[in-house]
Amino acid sequence: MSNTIAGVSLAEISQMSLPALQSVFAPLGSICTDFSDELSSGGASITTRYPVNPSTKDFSSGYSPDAVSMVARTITLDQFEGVSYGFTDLERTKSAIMLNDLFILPAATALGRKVFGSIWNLVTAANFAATPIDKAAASFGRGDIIDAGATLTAAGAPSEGRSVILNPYYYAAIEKSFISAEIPGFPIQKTEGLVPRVSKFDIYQSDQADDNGEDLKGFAYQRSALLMAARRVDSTGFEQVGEVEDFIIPGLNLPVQLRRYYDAPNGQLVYTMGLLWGVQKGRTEFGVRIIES
Amino acid sequence: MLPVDSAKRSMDEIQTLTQALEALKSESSKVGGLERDLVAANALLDEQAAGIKASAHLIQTLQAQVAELQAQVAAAAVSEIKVNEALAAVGVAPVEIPMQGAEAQQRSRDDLWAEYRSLSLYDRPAFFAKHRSSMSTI
Repeated sequence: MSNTIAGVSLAEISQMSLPALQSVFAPLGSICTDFSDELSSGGASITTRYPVNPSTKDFSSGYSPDAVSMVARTITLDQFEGVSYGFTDLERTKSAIMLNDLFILPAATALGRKVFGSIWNLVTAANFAATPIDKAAASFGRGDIIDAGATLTAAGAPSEGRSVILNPYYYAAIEKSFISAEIPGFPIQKTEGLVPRVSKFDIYQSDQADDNGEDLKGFAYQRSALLMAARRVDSTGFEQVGEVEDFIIPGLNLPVQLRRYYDAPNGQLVYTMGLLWGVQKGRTEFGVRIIES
Repeated sequence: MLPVDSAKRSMDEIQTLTQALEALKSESSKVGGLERDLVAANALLDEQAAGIKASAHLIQTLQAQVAELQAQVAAAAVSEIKVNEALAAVGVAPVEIPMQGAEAQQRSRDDLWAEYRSLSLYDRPAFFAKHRSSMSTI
């Protein structure tokens, strides 16, 4: 991109941001989400629901309905975070401002890490009490993920929508299991480090998958185990001092907000990328922690 | 025995007849050459006549095709009139079908961004992706 930082509309910047944001937030497709472009404000609550497996009944004596088996969960939109970058008059004058490199990619990455961190903090022994898989990275393999799948199936979790998030070392253990005699040659999975699905689980890694103070290394779950909601932030009045652009990440419908204004006292053009969201645990029996005690 | 004068006269007559015979042979040879030329000329004439006949046939065929095409054009014009009459009868005016690509090229960047603004947040990414080359300023 050329040094057209002040001449590029926020709308265009928002559309240019989509590839990075889609990549960063792709794992959100593996959890239950309630995203909308409706306005909300920080601290507001959203009630979302997840289904409970229904039981059948004898229809020979009638079709009287049962109550819909849904569990309501309240998600508080208590996470209002973003990235704010200022480009001084001198910077804009003396050098080219590569918006994509200097703002879009770093901001999207930082936001993605923050969102994932908030979700990961839900993965505790208190929330997900199923017997964890306790393995060192050196001995962790695809068989352990199959074991986690058996636990989820026994708990009644659907076989669809299952995922595993691992820290980089446990992800590497799975990746190395494909570097074996059973898969000869150099397919793209080997050369590009792509890990295919394992026993219907999508495999993700994150450097934000810390141990949560409980020796946590990974989490195998069905999408109903984790819930996230997000709303568009009310920007009424901001147009008096700057520009606002709300946009939606296609596929996820996650609303993101860009703002631009000129900070006169400090002589800098400021760009912000923000998100309003909240997370909550869902069906706690649909998650199995992976630890190394 | 003939007298000398008579013998000499006889010899002269024989010589004259021989010369005449040779002259006749020469003329006969010329007549033969002329006859061959005449046969060749007749063959060429026949060939030219056949070519003219074929050209005449081709002209006739093309004239028939032109007539057929003219008839089709006339029939199409009648059909268009009938279609327009039918559309007019049901109250639908014929409209031009816009060419999307040409229209997009004609729309200015400002027009495209204005239309972008009129769309919902969910529809904007696809619109921008479709018209990116015309909308982008970067």
